[in-house]
Amino acid sequence: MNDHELEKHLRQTLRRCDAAEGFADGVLKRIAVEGREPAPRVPFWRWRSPVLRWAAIPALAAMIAGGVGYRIYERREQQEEAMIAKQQVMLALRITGNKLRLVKQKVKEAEGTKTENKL
Amino acid sequence: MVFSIAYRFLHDRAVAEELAQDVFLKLYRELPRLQSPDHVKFWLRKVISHRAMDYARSSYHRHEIALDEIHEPTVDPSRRDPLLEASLRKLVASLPNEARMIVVLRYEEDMEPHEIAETLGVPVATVKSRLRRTLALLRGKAQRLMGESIR
Repeated sequence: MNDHELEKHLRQTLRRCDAAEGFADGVLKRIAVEGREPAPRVPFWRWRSPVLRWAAIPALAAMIAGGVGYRIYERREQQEEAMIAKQQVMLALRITGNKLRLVKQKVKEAEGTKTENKL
Repeated sequence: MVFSIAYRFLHDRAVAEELAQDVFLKLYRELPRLQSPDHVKFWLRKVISHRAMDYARSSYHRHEIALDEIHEPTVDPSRRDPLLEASLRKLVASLPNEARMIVVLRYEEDMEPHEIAETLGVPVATVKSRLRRTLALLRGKAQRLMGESIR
């Protein structure tokens, strides 16, 4: 069997077939029952109940304030951590500087002693 | 068209009808957003293909398809070879989901590879290579089956 023959047989085997007779009626029935689109989401300021509408405002405000507050807290934490790290670096540099100064002094003293001995 | 794609893919008349009804219901809701008859046709093919593949993908339903139950309700013996058709139907049913849908859209809907690619949201090269590989596989299996039945 070559490709052409196989394709011919596939077309024959998979030829279009119709649904049962009551199919269209079934679709129409379902459209009549379920066809309406679900109600669109109404924003809170258009809610019918005034109690819910007024209750939503502080809830929304609290959510926004909470979010902003958390961001401020997070930034402050980061700043504090950065400050501590900076202080630690400065301390490390200061210690290193002191040590270098001490070494330099020792070297100078050793050189002075050598010159005196030569003389 | 809608029922036929689902039926040729799933080989289950009841499920194919249910899925096709779902798609028509969705079409009713989406109709204002569709711009032309061609757009509607493209949309219908796309939605039913994905629905049928999703259905087949869920493991729960996969086991419900019994290959032995695949039969054609109306066969004209003067023009067709029922034995070969039954074998081919079984072979097509045994293909992986995407390859099976490509074969159904190509030979049932007579769609070109670029149309299939657009419908399934895959590259044209993928469709062409899958089709080539699937045909080779089907040819080999069909020849083996025919040889066995002749012997």
